[in-house]
Amino acid sequence: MEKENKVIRDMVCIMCPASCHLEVREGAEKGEYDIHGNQCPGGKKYALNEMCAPKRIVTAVVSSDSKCIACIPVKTDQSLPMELIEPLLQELYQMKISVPVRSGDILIKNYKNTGVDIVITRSVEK
Amino acid sequence: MNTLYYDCAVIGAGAAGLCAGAAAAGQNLKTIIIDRESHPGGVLLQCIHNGFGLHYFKEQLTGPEYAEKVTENAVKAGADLLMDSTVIEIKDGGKEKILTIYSGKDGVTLLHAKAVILAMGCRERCRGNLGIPGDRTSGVYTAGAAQKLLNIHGVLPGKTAVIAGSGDIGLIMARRLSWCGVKVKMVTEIMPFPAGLSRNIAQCLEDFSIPLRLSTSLTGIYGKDRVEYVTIAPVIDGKVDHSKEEKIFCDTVLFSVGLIPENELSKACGIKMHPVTNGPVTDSSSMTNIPGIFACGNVLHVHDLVDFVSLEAEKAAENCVKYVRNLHKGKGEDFREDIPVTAEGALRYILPVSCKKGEEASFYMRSSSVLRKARLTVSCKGDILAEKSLSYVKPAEMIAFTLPAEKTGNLPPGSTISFSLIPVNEEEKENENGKRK
Repeated sequence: MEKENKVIRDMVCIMCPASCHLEVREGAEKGEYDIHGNQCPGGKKYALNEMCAPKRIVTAVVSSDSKCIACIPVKTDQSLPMELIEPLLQELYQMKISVPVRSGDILIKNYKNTGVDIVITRSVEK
Repeated sequence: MNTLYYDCAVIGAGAAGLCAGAAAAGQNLKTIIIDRESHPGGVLLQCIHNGFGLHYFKEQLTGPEYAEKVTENAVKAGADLLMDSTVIEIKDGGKEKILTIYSGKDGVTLLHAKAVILAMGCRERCRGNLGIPGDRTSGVYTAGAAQKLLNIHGVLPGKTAVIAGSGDIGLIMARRLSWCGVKVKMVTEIMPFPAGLSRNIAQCLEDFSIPLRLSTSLTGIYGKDRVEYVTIAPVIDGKVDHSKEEKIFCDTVLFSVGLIPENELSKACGIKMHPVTNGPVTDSSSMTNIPGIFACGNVLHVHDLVDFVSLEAEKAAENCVKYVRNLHKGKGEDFREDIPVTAEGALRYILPVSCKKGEEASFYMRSSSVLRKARLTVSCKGDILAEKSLSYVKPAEMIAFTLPAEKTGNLPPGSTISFSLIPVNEEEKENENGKRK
């Protein structure tokens, strides 16, 4: 059997509750990685992202002018580069949403040209 | 006093109640879902993070999105929702159950139902449950209470926090608080392994460099008016070593130390409880010892994934529909033989505790320890009926297993099925692999 390269990082995949234990090994070429332990293609993608430019889904609440629900939950529709999380949160905390809103409404489109939208996740009528 | 008549009454409008209600109403049972809160969705409404629904809806949803979808399903199926109403008693009148409901708006209502589905969920263990000594200061919350404050009411619980217990809600709150500018100093866990899902350790603690102190006990909470500091101490061989106590300064303490199924109603009407799960004992049709009363979701046993709650609820509703139809036809109970099921080896418990001979049955179980590799064996008097290899088994992650109908069809009367979880030795495993090659 071919000798496998050294494990350079252990990580837990966060893509789904299966929480696969991933092993990242050096690949054949310099700067390449071999991923082991993933049960689906998502795990490989996650590990590669994690080695180069980690991203996360961000969820938060934004205050609203609703009479019954003080805060309206929002999320990023895809993972956002980690260094943009803090600026996004600061922006969200300054906003106020006017009701009514529907779950799925877009609050911020294409945040800082990342292609990531900030989406409302709860319908509030009044 | 109002009187209502329904085929099926579901108590609780969380994930379990809404999914059970949708399934029962979808089969043309006149169904009502009762909840003490103003909005349906239960705890999902405050779980604004994503990661729900991958199994049930085949997409990643946040809690409120999941709640909205299951509420919509229930309403579309024709279930009635009765909000701001608390069930205070269930009376078993044989073919009819009578629920006493109280609400601020309508006063007392008597609800006559042919069948009842219990879906009351669970509540959090708190400081009082653990008997943590010290001062009675403000700033002590359960993780879920802090979550509700923050995500529903928009109120920050404090500025620097220590989280006691590594349950999932605590881990999620560590991230949530960090994102709100609260300094989370550490998460302590009394056991040598974390209680929450591995992915939550990774994305909620490691991302924020929050230390997880395993085998560590929170030994006291101190402060005048407000929490000023807590003390922690290592746990060695199950004993707290007070000589190594440390002070950690903080103004907020969150407890994430387990959940208790909320069964005051069930106990008061004579439903038999399971000593390990603290939920009702159910057979493979999700029915309790009282015919016509079913249970599903966290009131039955605490789940780690809402998807499993929804699936379990649908199954309970399906059986509830069968029960009500048989009642109409004047048929009695199902007399097919019940085969008792036991949990052995490293299994802490299994549900249901029996299954019908020759009928497919879904089982849920938890291990009592962390095992890197293990084998789950289903056997009857030494004959192996089914086997499954598992890796990274931990108490925090529920194991689901479906036993096909043909496996139990030919068992002799008086049989018992035993589920056993045995650790697999790594070397043994390698030898096996070697043989296969």
